[in-house]
Amino acid sequence: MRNRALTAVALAAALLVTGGAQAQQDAPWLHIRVTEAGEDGSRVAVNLPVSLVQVFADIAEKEIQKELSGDGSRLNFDMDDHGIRIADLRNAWTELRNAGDADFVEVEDGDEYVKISRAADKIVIEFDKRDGNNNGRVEVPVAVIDALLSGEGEQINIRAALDALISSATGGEIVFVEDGNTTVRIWIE
Amino acid sequence: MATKLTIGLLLAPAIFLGLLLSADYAIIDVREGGPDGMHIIVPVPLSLVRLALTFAPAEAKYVQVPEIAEYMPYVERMIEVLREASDGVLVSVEEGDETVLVEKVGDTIEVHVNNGDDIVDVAVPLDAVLDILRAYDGEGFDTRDLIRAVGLAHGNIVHVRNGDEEVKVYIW
Repeated sequence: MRNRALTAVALAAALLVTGGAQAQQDAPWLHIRVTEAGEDGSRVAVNLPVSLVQVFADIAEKEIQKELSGDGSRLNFDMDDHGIRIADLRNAWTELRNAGDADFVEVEDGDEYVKISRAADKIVIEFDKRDGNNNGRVEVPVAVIDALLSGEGEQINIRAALDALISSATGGEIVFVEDGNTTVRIWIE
Repeated sequence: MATKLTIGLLLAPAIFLGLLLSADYAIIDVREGGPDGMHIIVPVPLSLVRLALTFAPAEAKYVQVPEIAEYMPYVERMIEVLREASDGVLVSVEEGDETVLVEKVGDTIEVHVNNGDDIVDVAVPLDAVLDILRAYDGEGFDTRDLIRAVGLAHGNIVHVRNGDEEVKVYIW
């Protein structure tokens, strides 16, 4: 009887340990690759456990909240004194979100072209210099923007956005940019 | 009185010897290039360094960095996450004949830099970093705690090579 109990405890412990190890192995990682063409071109590879990126996101959120409380709760995207209120951004997003699939912005300026559109559950940003070399595509799941703006008032929720990105982008590419000789890829796997 | 003095004189070297024998040592190994190059090995007992710091001026005993207080919980979480993560390359940069590699190997973060001339290998034990973080009192660090944390490392922690010249620091 005692032996059976001991065996059961040992089995349970083994299951817990192997389960933990499996969970650790299955934990997603964020991968970034920057590749420059040519023999002497730089090659940068960054691989980080997503849980580590979550800590960075918490720090970023803290810093942004400090910034917001410091200058009248506005995010300043290099617009001199014309910052954007998070509440305004949230309202605008609610309108856009409800609009369904559509091209929101399309700019053609000489040989430069930028388009921001909604396609199903993703916001797609495409840019192209029309020289055959410089083009890129960034796909942001709608759930990520929902999560980013899920706070109240002047709060943005970076951690929630990252969590949404992880759950919606695992296995898929988040960013792909080809700019002349340089290629940038970001994905979670 | 004479008896007390005799006991004291006998005990002092014994305590000193005990400290030396029980100590972790940082071994600094410098090898010059060429057939006549010097080879210097300096063993530094870390417990003696800590003891010496007790008599050092206040500014050498304590490093004040109150500005990092708010980030310490995050850094501690980063270290915990890295400890739990599986081994692998975290960062790799190649540019011409220069390379930088940061990888997790067991409970250590290893940094390898090769700029074509110098090769630098640094091993940072995560336990030692955690120990340093936990020694932070909200205002700064006691340098004796930093020395104790260095003692938690084992093996090579720094290795710099340039041609046939090299410097090694290892904890023994």
